[in-house]
Amino acid sequence: MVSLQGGEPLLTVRDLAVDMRQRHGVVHAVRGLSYSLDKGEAMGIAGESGSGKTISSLALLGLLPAGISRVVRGSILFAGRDIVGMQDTELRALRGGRISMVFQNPLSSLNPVMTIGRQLTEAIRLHLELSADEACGRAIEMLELVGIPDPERRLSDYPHHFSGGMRQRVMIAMALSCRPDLIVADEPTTALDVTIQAQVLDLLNRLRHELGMAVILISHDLGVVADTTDRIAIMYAGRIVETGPTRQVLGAPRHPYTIGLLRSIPSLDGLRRRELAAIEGAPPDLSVDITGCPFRDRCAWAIQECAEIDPPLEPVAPRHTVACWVKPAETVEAT
Amino acid sequence: MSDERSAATPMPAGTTPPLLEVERLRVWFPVRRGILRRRVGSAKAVDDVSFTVGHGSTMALVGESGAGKTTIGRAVVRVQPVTSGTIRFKGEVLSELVGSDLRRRRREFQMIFQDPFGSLDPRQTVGDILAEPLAIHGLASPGERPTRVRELLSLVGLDPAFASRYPREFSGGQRQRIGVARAIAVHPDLIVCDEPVSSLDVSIQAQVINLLIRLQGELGVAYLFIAHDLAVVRHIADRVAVMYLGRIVEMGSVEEVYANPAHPYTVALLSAVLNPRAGRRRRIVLSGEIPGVDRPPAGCSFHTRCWLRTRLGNPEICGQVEPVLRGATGGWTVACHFAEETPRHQPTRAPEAAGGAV
Repeated sequence: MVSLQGGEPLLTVRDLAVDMRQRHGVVHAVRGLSYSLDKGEAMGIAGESGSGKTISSLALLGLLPAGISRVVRGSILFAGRDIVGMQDTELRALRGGRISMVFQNPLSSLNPVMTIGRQLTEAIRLHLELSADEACGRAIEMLELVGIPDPERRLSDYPHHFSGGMRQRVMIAMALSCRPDLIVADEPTTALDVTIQAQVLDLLNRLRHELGMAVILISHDLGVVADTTDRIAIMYAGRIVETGPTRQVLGAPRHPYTIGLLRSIPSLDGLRRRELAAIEGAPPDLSVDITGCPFRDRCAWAIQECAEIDPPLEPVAPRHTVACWVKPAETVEAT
Repeated sequence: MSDERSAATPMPAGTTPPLLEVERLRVWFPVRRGILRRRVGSAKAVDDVSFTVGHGSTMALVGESGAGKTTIGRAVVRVQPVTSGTIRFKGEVLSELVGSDLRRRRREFQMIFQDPFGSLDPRQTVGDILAEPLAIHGLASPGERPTRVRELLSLVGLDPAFASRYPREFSGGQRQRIGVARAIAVHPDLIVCDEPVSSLDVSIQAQVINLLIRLQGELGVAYLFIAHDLAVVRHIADRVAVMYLGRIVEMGSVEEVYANPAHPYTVALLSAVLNPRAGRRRRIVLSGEIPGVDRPPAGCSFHTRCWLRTRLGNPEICGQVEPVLRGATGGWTVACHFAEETPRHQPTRAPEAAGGAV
């Protein structure tokens, strides 16, 4: 676990709210999100479809689809400057420079008609003052770092020459090529086979420690987050409902939603064929204003207060906070 | 191609054959290259695969991309022509059935797909979707159908009033329930489930897994369960076949295979399962990529990525001789020359072990 460092955090998201226009009206996709991230720290953001985890990370890259969604409230301070309201030119300089990203589908993030070498060197020269030769050397170095065999020769290959796992390595090489302070990885291994996922997660873990980058890992897979991060934030209905050191939150969860998620995952050592504790019902409609706790309709512990006032995040242990009026201390048995 | 075999292996009197018997199944696709698209070889998507599924039981096929598990599922429900081999359903060779015999049998095996969005006709109401198979197979008169549709919806945990709605009005989990309702509408004995929960959120995934287990108890249906998630398979299946590049590399009861995996690939797959409650665990990280089925490595097709082979000092036999499925110590089967060495060499599976690759 990384201890709290002195000084300013690398990233501070404060009361962020993002609206999205959809066919049936405006969806309040992110409804007051706050967290901070230290230098070199790895944080996981976990949640299911529609929890706001991807939209909030697009916001911190300044990549919200224009005309469809926008930040309606809050700030995103990166190295002391607010990303909300930043001009496009500034944002472009930041992205791929001090902040870079890795997405779920590497094929759609790479240019199919440009060689890997050209894409790498262009990205490098856009952000670092290097000659063409130096940039090329850097590109080879990066491909070597992520374990692409014979990197010099592979510079002239196109994305379709690479397998899914190799493309994701190329994306990571690209993301690392300008020595960013922060990598935002959105479901980086979801499209990969499990043995290839193991390779990519190992690579990310190793490089993060070697290069001292901060990582925000967004995933629906709690196992992936547990494997890769120091700290975790569980999102539900556009907000963080529980956050703290990863081992502690997943080992001793106190929010009914976190408890429910963990119970619903079959494991390799629980009882077979017993009924999994599914969370019945579905997440709330975020196009209407929600009074009280957004999870209460699906919650076995709900009490009167839950219908009236949305619970704030309150500490239950050092650095471990939970947004719940009840905060049940339940053991999560293996299922 | 299969008459000899079926004639040669008559069922002993008084025993019922297994529900499904797949014997030496091959599905090969032509590989064409060059301007003339000449056939230069075969991609062995499924190669020499044999297994059985018992009445009311669940057999799982697991493996990664290119393993051939989906192709097998498609061959079983007869949407994929086979190259050779036999598929018997209740003792009858499926490929020999025609006309009314085939139609009668068709009702008895159904399929559920991964994508609950793509497998339902968007222009039909849920009621129409569920009434159609009842009409085709003559299972309910037009007057009885609405009642039966409502019964089916409540059986899979949906509000019977949903019959008049369209698929787009439902969430992924609800659509998968509709897919399940459509499959069980015709009282099948076997449902081929192709990654039925992998596109669903975990809390919804649990709902669908619970539904499948409950329906098996209530209806006695058997499942051929195709999946890549080993924890889900362990939860739902009785037997499991682990596949790699078109072949079964290990097969046995779920208890046996998960407790004492004998094939190094099974060990690697199990060690790659991430448990959120265990944190970082020791795992075997395989080097290299999954080769294409059109160019499988010689000998054992797993040898290029095999950690056990490396530990044993790269014995030559692995790259030369293809291992056959043979009995392992505990009564299941494994295709590895050195399966006996696996337990001694595999890393500790203690979840608290220090992180990092082995």
